Order: sequence, then C-alpha cells, then structure tokens
Amino acid sequence: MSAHLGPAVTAFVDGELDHSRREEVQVHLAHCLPCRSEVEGLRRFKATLRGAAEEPQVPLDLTARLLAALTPPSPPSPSSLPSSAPPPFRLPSLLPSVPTLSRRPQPRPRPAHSRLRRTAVGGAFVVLGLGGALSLAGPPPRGPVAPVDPTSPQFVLDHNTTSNELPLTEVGVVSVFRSAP
Amino acid sequence: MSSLRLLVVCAGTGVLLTGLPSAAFTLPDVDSEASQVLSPSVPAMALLEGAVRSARTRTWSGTQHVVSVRDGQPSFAVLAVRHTPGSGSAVRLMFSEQEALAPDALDTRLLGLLAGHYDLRVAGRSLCAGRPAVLVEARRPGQVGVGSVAGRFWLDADTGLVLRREVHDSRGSVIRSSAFVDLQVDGPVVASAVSAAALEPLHPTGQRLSDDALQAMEAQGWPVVHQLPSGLELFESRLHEREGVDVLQLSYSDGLSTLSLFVQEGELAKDPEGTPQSMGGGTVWVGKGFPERVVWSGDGRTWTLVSDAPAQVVSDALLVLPHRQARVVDDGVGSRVWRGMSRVGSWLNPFG
Repeated sequence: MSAHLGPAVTAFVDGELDHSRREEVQVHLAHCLPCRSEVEGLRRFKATLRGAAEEPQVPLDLTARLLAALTPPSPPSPSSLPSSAPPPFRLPSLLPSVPTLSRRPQPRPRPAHSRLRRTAVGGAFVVLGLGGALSLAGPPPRGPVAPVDPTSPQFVLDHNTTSNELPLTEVGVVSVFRSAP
Repeated sequence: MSSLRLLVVCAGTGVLLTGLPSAAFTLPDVDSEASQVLSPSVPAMALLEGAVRSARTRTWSGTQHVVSVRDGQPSFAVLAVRHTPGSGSAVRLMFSEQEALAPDALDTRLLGLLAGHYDLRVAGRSLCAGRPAVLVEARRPGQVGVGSVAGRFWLDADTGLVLRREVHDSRGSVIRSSAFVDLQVDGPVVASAVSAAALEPLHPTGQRLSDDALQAMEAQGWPVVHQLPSGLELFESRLHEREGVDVLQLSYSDGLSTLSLFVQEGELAKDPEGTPQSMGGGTVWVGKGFPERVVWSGDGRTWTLVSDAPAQVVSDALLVLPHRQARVVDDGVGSRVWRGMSRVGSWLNPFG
C-alpha cells in the first residue's frame, strides 16, 4: 500500500471509483489520519463551492414584470404633457463635437405603430422562451426516496440486540434524555 | 494473600493458569503507581473470559446504575436485573413499567475484538458494590497518560461477574458506565429485582448474512465497508426487509464500542428529524438521545448510523463513508424556468 492516496482522494470524494478501488481506499482511510483529513478538507471545500453556486433566486414577480413590459405604453397625448416638461434626453446632444457621431445620418422618426409591432414581436419571443423553458424543465431532479424512515426507533433496537447490549438500558436512557427539558 | 485471592477467582471461573510466575499476581491497590508496571495481559484476558462463562452459568439479581454521557450531558437510568442462565437477563427500568428480556452484555465475539485492539492488563484490586473486585483495564496501544485507558472492568473476586464497566473517550472522560449498586449471586432474588421473567427475549431481527451472502450483496452493488477508523471491524451483517424493501445492517466493534450502519436505496426526501450538523465534511442530521443516531444521504442511498462510540470515532467513520450534501429542490416558477433554460443551454453547449 502506498504511503498516501494522492489523487485518489478526489476520485473517492466525487464517487468516481469502481467497487474494488473504493474498497481499497476505504481500508486505507481506516488507518490513515492524514488522508482522512484530506477527505474532510476536500468535502468541505466542495460543500462551500456548492453553497456558492446555488441556483440563482429568480424573483417570483419576474414573469409578471416581463408581461407588464410587453404591454405597450399608451402614447401620451401632447395635451397631457405639461408645457414646462424638459425635452427628452438625447445622447447626441451631449456629444455634439464627436465627428463620427455628427456624420451619422439622423434617424428618421419612426411611426408609433412600428414601435408597437417591434415590442409585440419581442414580447412574443420572451413569452415563448419562458413558456418553453417551463415546459422543458420537466420534473424536479430528485432521486428515489428512501422508503424506510431512517429515524425509526427500530434501528436503535436492532443495533442494541445485534451488539449484545442491554436493549432496555439504552431505550430507557433515551426516554429519560428526551423527557428532559 | 493476593495470589491466593486471584487463584480463588481463577478457580471460581474455571480458568486454569499454570506456568506463570507468582509475582505477576501480586495485585497492588488501584491507585498505586505499581499498577502501571503490571501487564499480565494473558491473565487479564482469561479473567474476562471467565466473566463471560460465569455470566452464563450463574444466577444473580440486583440493581444496576447506568450512566451515558453525550456532549457533556449525562443521562441516568436505574435498572432491576435478574439473570437466569439460558434465559438471559430480565431487565426492568426502575420507576417505569418497561421490561425486557435481553441477552448478556458481554459476548465472546466482542471479547476477541477487545483483545485485538487494546492492551489488557490487571490493574489492581478494589471494592465494588461492597464486594472484593479485580480491576482489568483496556488501554490504547502506544499511549500513556491521560486518555490511555479506554475501558475498565471490575470483576467480582468471588464469582468473576462484571460488577462495573466503564468506557472512556480519548480525553479520559467517562462516556458510558454501568455498575451494580447491590448484587445477589446464586441466592434469593433481591427485592428490587424484576419479578416477572417470563418475557419474550429480544433477539436480533432480520436475516444474518454469511460471508458468501455478504459477498453476493457486494457484487450486486451494495456498499460494504469492512473496516472503519479507530479499529472498528465488521463483525456481523444482517438483511432486514422493511416495508417491502431491503435494508442492509453492518455492525462494527472494537470490543468496547459498537457502531451499526443501516443502508437503504434512495435519498432523503426532506430534512429528517434531528439537528443538521457538519460532520465528516458534509451535512448530516443528528438525533437526540443515546445511542447516537446520524442520518445522511450519499451515493444514492440513505445511511443511518447508530453508535455508542465516542464522538470522535463516529466523526472519523463518517469520513470513510459515501457522502454528499443533501439538498431539497425548490420547485417554484423561478427554479423551473432556470432548469429549463439550463437544459436548452446544455443542448447548445458543444462541450457539454
């Protein structure tokens, strides 16, 4: 047996070893404190990474806000704007001396129905994307569930009887402990 | 005088000791420094074997005080015990109606593990429950000073029965102790002893697996760990059928402490009852009370660990076993959208 496990520690923690190699590693770990410490450190590191890479929490009102964004705002009538309102913000007005910008042709004002059509098409893509994602999500990735309650008292009784301990002793102590405040 | 006393013990327990120097049987007092230099491990083992034999041939009754310490918190129980050879020990929890018929606490198989993992020595003599006793210590090999003693047995000088038993952790603290307050051997039953012995014995359940059967389970993919840290060796395996599914039980011991693993297919559906803790580099759920119960998911299975071993031994065992951080999936709208987009992304990823 080699002095230490080396790269096999990572494969062991990741569950990538075959049966025989995993058993060899477990036998080594049973006797090797440095390798056990390495396993513990690697597991902690991976747990930290896993915690940092949790799925982002998408706000629940995201869909509502996206749908709200699809609804075209009603164009304000000229009479509804106060006469003292500032003019709309224009980037070119801040950079009048930039030649490249100044040489660009001024965009022609588009009609309102054109903007509405582009917004509707874009919104349709968003809705289709969200709906597609929802339909493709499938069931949650949950493996088979353990059918037997792992906290069943029967496990303790089986442990005590197999260990040839006095079963009532342990059960009694558990009862006393649990009744304590 | 001391030699004579031990010879009486040996004769009473049917142990024949010949060819050993008489000086080896000079038993100092327990507190004497001289006890450190006495290491007649063979006589100590013979005394423990005699204790097992005596427990199987003698009738006794008495009151026993049991203490278990976990996380610095002791829990106590007082038991009335009546032992009948061939039937086992009828035990009643005092101040309670709970009764059970239990097998003997000392088993020859576990005794072999004890001799294999610890240095056994006769450490001296003492009084226990008002009776002369011989003290046998189980010491951790290669260790001296505080924490070197792993277990102590006080054996009745007259009958060889175990009057008191202690298990210490590596820091020298007592984690389990059982001691007779009063004991009546081969005589009338003491008043506090359990009166009704016509109880169904609590035999182990499930099917005991032979070596071949265990190998066949391994070949089918069941995880079987033959050794755990701290000298815990697999000494028995059983297969239980619960709710129509198989649960594999693997039992380990070093002779003083025991640890059982219960393995079943499938992972935890939700957080189990207990306190989540970081042990062995991952998250486990620890139940209340004694013995210690730890539950976690790993390698597509759910593991339940039950043990009376010191906390460090349990923590070391968890490092060797498959483990992953269990996670309950939040299946809200956001989670589903993210999952679906991730799936589409995986389709478009040429390296995925």
